[in-house]
Amino acid sequence: MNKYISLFTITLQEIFTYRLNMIMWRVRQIFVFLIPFFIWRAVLSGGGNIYGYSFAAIMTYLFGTTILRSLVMGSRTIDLGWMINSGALTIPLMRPFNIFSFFFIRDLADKLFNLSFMFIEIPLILFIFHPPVFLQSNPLYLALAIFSILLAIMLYYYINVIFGSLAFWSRDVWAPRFLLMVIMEFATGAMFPLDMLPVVWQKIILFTPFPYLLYVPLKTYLGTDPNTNIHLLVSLLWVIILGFFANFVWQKGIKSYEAEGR
Amino acid sequence: MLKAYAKVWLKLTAQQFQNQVANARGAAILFIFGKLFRLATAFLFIWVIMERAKLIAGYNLSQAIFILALFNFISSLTQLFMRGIYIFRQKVVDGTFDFYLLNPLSELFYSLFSYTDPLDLILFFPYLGIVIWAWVATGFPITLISFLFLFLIIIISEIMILSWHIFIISIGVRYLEVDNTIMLYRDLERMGAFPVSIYGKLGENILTYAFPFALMATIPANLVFGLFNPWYLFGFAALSILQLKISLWYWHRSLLSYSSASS
Repeated sequence: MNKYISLFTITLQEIFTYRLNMIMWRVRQIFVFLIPFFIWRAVLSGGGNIYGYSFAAIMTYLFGTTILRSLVMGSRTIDLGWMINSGALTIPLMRPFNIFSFFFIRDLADKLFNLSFMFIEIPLILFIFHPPVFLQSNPLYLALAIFSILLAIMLYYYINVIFGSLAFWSRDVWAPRFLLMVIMEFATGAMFPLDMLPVVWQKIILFTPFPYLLYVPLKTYLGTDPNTNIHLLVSLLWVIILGFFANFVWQKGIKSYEAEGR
Repeated sequence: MLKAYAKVWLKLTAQQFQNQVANARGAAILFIFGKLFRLATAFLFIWVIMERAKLIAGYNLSQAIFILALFNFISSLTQLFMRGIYIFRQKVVDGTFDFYLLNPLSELFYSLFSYTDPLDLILFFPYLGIVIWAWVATGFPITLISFLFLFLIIIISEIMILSWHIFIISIGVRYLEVDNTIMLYRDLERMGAFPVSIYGKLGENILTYAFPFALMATIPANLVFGLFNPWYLFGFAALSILQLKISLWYWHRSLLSYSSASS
C-alpha cells in the first residue's frame, strides 16, 4: 500500500514541478465555461426556457460539466500512447506495481489536483458571473450521482487504456485520440444537454459509453432523468465490457512491446 | 525577396506533404474526419439553440451559421500558415532556433511559417465552399464589392493574428512557455465563432480592439448584412499595423535576452 501512496505523492509532485504550465492549464478550464455561459445568457437570461431548461437549469448543467470534466476527464493515462512509443513504459513495467493500478493511481492524483483547484475556481466563477445554480438536497439523488461519477471515472480510465494501447501497433496515436476527443466533446453532453437532440439521436448516443461520462451523472444529480436506474445499469455494464476489453487489448499489445527507444 | 520566401515556403510545404504521405496516411483520414465532425457539431449546437430561440443577439439561424462558417475559414487559414508556433518551444529547447537565427531569411518566417500542415491545405477549399453556401443561405447578395471588402478584412485580421503569434513566441524565447499560451489564445479565439455582442460591452470591445476575434467573423458578417460601415476599416488597418509594430518591437527585445543555452 505504501508504494502506491508514494506513487500518488510523486505524481502530484510531478504536476507541481511545471507551475506556469499548471496555472495556464487551470486558466484554460475556466474559459471552457465562458463561451457556453455567454451564449445561453444571450438566449435565456430574459426568462422562459428551451427544451425544458430555464437559465438556472442550464447554468447548473454547464457548471456541473465544468466540474465533472476536471474530475472525470482529468487523467495521466492519456500519456500511455507516448510512453509505449518512446519506450518510457519499460520503467513502470520493471517496478513492483500492478501496471493497471499504476496508471489508475496516477489518474487519481491528477483528479485530486484538479479538485483542489476547483475550490478556488468555483467561488471565482460564482463571484464574477453569478450563474444561478441549483443545489441538490435529496440524499438519494446525491448518492446515485456519486455512484454514477465513480462509474464514469472507471469508464474514462478504460477508454484511455484502450486508446493508449493502440500505440503497441501504431506510431500514430495522436490522430485516433484527436478523433476521440472531438466525438467525446459532443457525445458526452459537454457541449449541450443531449436531451435537446431529437429522441432518435438521443437513443443512438445512449447506446455508446460516452454519455455516461458527463451527461448521465449530471442528469442524475439534477434528478431530472426519468430512467436513472436503467442508465446506471448500462453505465455499469459499459464499465465491465470496457474493463474486459482493455485487459484483452493490453495482454495482446504487451506481447508486441519492444521497448523501442530505450 | 518575397520570391525567395515563397520558394522556401513551397519547398518546406512540399516536404511536409511527402512526410505525411509516407508516414501517416491513415492518421490523415482520421484528422480530416475529426475536423469535419467538429465543425458539424458546432453547426448542430447553433441549430439546437436557434430552433427554439429563433434569434441570438439579433441574428437569425442562417446569419449565425454564416458567422461560424467565416470564423472557421479564417481560423483554419491562420492554422494553415502559422502552425510553426506549436513546435516553436521545442525548437528553442533543442537549439534548432540557433539555425533560424543564422539563416539569411527572417527567423520569424522560420519560426511561424515553416511547418504547414497539408491537412489544412486539403480542407481549405471545403471550408471556403461552406462559407459561400452559408452566405447564399443568408439571402444577402454576393457582390464584387462585398467580396473585396471581405478580402481586405481577412488581410487586416491576419495582420492582427500575426502580431499576437509574434507576441506569443516572444514570450517563448524569454520564458520557454508557448504551448499553453497558444492554447489559451485558441480558447479565447473560439469566442469569435459567435456574434461578439453576446459577451457584453466590455467583452465585445476586448474581442474587437485588443484581439482580432471580432474581425474574424462578426465584423465581416456585419459588413455583408449592411450593419458595418466599411470606412471603419481604415481604423482597424491602423490598429493592426500598430499591433504589428509593438509585437515586432517586443520580439527584438526578447531576442536580446536569448542565450542559446540549449546549443
